[in-house]
Amino acid sequence: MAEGYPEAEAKPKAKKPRPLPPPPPPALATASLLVRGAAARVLGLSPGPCGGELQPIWVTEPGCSKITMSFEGTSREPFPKEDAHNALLIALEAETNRLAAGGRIAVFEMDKADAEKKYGEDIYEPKSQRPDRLRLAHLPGAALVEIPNNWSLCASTSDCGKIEFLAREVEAGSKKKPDTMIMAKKKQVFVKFSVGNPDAPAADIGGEMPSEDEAKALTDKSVRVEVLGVDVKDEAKEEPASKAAKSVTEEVKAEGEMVVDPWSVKGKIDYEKLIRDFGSTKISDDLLERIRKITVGSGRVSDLHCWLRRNIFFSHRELDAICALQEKGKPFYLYTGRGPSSAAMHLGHLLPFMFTQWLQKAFDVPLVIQMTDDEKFLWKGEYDPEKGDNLHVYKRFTIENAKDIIACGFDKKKTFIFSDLEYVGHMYPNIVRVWKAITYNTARGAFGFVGESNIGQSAFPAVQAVPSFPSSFNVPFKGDQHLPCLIPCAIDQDPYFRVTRDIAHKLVPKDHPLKGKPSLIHCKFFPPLTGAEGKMAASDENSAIFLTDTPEDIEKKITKYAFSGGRQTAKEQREKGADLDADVSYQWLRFFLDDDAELQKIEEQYGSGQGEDYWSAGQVKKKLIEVLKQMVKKHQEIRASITDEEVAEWMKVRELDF
Amino acid sequence: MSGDQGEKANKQTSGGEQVVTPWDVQADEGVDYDKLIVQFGSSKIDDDLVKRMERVTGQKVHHWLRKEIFFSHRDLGEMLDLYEAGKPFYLYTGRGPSSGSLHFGHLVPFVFTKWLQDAFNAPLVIQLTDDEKFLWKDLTLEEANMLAYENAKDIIAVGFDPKKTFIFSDVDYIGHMYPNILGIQKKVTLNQVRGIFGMNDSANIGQFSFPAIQAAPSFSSSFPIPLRGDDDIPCLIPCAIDQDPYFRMTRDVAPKLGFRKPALIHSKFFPALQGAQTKMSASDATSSIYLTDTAEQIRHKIKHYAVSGGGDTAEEQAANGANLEKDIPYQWLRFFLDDDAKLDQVAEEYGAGRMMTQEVKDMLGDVLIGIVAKFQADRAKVSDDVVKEFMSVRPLEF
Repeated sequence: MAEGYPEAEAKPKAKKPRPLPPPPPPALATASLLVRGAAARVLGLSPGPCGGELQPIWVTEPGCSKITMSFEGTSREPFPKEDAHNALLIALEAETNRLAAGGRIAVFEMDKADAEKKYGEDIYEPKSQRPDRLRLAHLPGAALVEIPNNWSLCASTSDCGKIEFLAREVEAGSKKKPDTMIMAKKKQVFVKFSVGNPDAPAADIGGEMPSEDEAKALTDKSVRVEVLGVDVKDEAKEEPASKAAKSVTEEVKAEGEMVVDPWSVKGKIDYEKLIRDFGSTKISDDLLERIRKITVGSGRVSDLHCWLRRNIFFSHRELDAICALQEKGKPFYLYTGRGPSSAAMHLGHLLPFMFTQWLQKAFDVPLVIQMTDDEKFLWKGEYDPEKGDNLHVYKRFTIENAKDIIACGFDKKKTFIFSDLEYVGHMYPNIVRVWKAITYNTARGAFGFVGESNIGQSAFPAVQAVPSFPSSFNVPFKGDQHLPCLIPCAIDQDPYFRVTRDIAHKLVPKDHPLKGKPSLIHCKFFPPLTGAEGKMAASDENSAIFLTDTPEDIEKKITKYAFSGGRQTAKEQREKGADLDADVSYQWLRFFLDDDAELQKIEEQYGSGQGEDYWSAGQVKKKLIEVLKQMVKKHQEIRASITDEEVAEWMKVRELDF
Repeated sequence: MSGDQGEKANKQTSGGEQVVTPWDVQADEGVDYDKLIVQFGSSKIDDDLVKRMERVTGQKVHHWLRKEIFFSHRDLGEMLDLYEAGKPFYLYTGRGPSSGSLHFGHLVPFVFTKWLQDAFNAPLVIQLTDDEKFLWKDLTLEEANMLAYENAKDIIAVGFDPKKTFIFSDVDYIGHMYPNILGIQKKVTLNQVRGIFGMNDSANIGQFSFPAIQAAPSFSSSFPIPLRGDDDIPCLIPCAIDQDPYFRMTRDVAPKLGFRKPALIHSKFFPALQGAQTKMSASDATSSIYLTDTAEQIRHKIKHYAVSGGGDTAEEQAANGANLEKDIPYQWLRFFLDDDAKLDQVAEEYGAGRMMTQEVKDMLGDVLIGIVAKFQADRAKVSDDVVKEFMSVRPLEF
């Protein structure tokens, strides 16, 4: 068959470099790079790797071209559904024109090795031939990318004139696809566009090379443009499109810099926005009713936990699927954990365990509790030339913390507590599987690693992920590979498990009821004593009530440090009432006072400044002190009876009873 | 540990410089090993050191040391100091499990390690990196783990002492090493791994963390049971020179963990049949001779694929003699013919054109067939129970 081509057959390796296609007019070339820069910012990409193949439409339609970009690896996860695509394209067009105000364009040449060293590999588009000598274009604020050697660009980003997106829609009934569209399946964006000034001249090579930092900012793959109707509520649909795009950085400043990731929580938290950002689901009244039927209906508990009743656990992923299984009598297991960073646990640390204890009792299910002593060592461990490293310290913290956890009242026959240091060998096959499924890029995007992070830190997400899969507990679960997992956790831990959910199907048999995805139930943050923003830290003694505090400590801390939303004077308080949102004592009572009627009374009296029992801050603090004293005392009594031997029994690798 | 260690071939470079890394070897005219020593900052194994080894062990050194096939080292002198002072060391080597059987390139580090074990009466740990193979290759973890057990048979057949040798699969043994792995991981950044091992950002996170798993066996506290709780035993690692960067990282990290640096002893590359200039490929059955090959296959491969440095015709050979540097049969004889006098004779006669290529090829065939026959007989004796014994976590005798 190859007879006609003996040359090609004989010398397959002598590949000549393919001649470059004819270059686009400078205005279209410039505009195409602006579109790529905008796509990167709107869709969470890097302008290089997203590519930008141009169709030479200008031959028949002067001033027009069509660009094809890939959004493979987008940080918009999950990628918005089709009904949001138009909003994305509107934002993309607006952002393109905003970037057109960027300024002077630099086109310069560099040796490949130097360029890669300085700017990394994000300068390339996927099909780049990567010649030894590169031509690079820098459009301020938009892109730094390699361009073909025969391309020329305009002198300034604004020279090409207004950029308009064309042919977004096709006539009803037509089988043709629109020229400008997002194709989610192929992860491609097509944009047919025109420029206002198609004959803008080419500029000579020159201009200033960007610094490494400037270049780095351009390849940051985060979503940098909030899209109306996708990221923020579309309150004014008639607003012109150009206002649709709003830089996230500006927005964050306006909102008091809410930051929520597994390592930091800052600013005033907008939980509705978190649900939107994270793509989780609000726990609806219907869902609560279903849970009530399963749990209270069985007689195992008398009522829903007050944190469910009060929306402190407010968000979930696939909890409805867990309920559906329960309704058919199918079991699941619970997974929670603790990073043993110190021997001193405070109330905030105990919350997830208190709730998990309720879940275990209410659903009558097995539970695994991971003690991430390895994690704490990787992030906080120390090395002393005299004494060596302090890994053993975290081992000890594990035992001490386990006592506090056990004191929450779990069912010993159904509960397995394990230290990563001890148990990792059992989980290693799954850890390696998760490692293989997660690229460095993904981990960096999800967990915020930098080049200076240690390799243990980047490997750790797998260690935290694998308890979500039943085969990590072959002995405790007696080989059951199908048991679905429910994870109660604070909402800031969600990013860990989002990645876990993405790869879960690779870790379980095909007929696993949730395809391996762990279900999640998220709680709000427990505010520190000193104010309702952020979450409680073990590092600040006065911001927390520790489980070892004496009744006097508790009284003193609440009296002295609990941030009050009450008014300065009795007169003012009587007139205006307290700011309940800001008042930590009231907020804490929402967590710890189980009596709904009493809480409502406090809310009414304190909030309005009226009534007798709870109209003032002092009275509310007194109530809180009473509740906490009792709670902590009870905890301390139980904990005192738990020996190291008792802990060893809970931590023994054994079959659980379920 | 790369399954291909010990056999790297050279690629032509346009720049004229040589590049030797664990994943790539490029050199114009064969590797300049003296230059490599300077480049890597290792030390040459000189006559004094060889003599010292003979004095310390009371026996002649392995002929690969005499022939400078093992030619470079780090801290080998200190290892001998300690040994003389009554402080023994342990040996660490390894293999990435693969579906293919062992070939002669694989054999080099193991044969040499066995000699070290016998000469120094040293305990030995052999790491089978089933996790690594899974992370890099397209196979399941179960397959990789199973291959580790299969490959252990080949390794055992080299003749290691069961009382002194612990073979382990990472998947099975990782829990024991985890504290050390964490310590190492904590001291190595993502940037460093990228720099040393050439990982890019689409590599998986296991690949980024794997260097710590390969480093951990260099520290005796990773073997509390096999090395009987002595966490201060020095470690000696025999390896091909291209593996050095892995252990340079380990050596950098060691003092930060309060551990001794492992000492290293480096071999030159074992050339492919098609010559030192061709890329060796494990999947190309013609570039290697396997320890499962029949006598006919061996003679066939040598005849058809072994690059000759001899003259094209009998006349030319007689007139000019052979280029021994280029001649693979001669180079392979340097590795596997333990008779110095006979080898000298070949060099003399063949180099001068008094011996024909076919005679040298025949001689190599005889030598290899002999080795393979013995190996196959020994391997047949390795039962699953024997493998279990080598791979059970137990105190070694030393």
